[in-house]
Amino acid sequence: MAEQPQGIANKGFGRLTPPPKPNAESSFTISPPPSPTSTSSERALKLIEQLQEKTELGKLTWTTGFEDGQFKVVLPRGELAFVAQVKGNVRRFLVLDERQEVILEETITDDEALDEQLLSAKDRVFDAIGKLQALARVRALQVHEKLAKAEKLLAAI
Amino acid sequence: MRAEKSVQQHNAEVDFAALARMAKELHSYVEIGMMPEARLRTTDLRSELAVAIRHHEAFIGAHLNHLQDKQIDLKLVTDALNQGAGSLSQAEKIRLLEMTGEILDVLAGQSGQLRSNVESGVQNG
Repeated sequence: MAEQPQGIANKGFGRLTPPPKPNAESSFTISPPPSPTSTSSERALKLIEQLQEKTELGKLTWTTGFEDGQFKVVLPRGELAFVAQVKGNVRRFLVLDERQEVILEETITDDEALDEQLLSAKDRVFDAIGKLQALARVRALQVHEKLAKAEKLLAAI
Repeated sequence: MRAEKSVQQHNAEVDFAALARMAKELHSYVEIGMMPEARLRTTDLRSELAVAIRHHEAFIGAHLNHLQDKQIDLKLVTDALNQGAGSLSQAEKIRLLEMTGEILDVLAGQSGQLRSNVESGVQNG
């Protein structure tokens, strides 16, 4: 049986208390939310296309995720992470913020993508996720490098 | 000011040592197939790692990217386990063992680095 969840901040692992700081005035600004001119599918599509472009240029380092067919890329300073997944007939695209909260999620099945009523944005996102996942897979698994090595190894036999 | 830094660095080391212990427990649960326990520990570790990174970012230094990468791994594992560990494929089970092992390595490494810094008087990693 697992222990109950433990917090490291309040369990007395030998933490020391630093001297108190003088009060600092906090200031913050409130930015207006972006105008809702596009649907989440359109936003996803735009991001996926940008990711495809940067991936083709070799500017993003994709690695394997956890689930089958899942690949992830974390931006250099960790502000955002993107996940592309193709699992069976489901394609998924996630955008996570620096706290790993999902700020955009598109999950589309091939049934939805083929539905005439939903065609357009959903359909394009479905195709775009597939293309991005294929690119990410090639990069994360270093497919080209390994196949080139395979050719050399076979040639040397 | 120097004393305050030393205290903060000591606290960072203590917190990351606790995280490494949690990661070790998680890895053990996965190894012996105790998936409900592994799911609970994954959730704990994820939230505690987020707190530790936020509190001690100044002392983490170049390892921050590794830790952020592991945070994403924990998020993806948590989501998958919450859907039901019974639905994991064989490849996913193997990947889970690898991922929890990597998380343990990264956290133990970070803890060791912080301890080394405390002992040698270095102010950040």
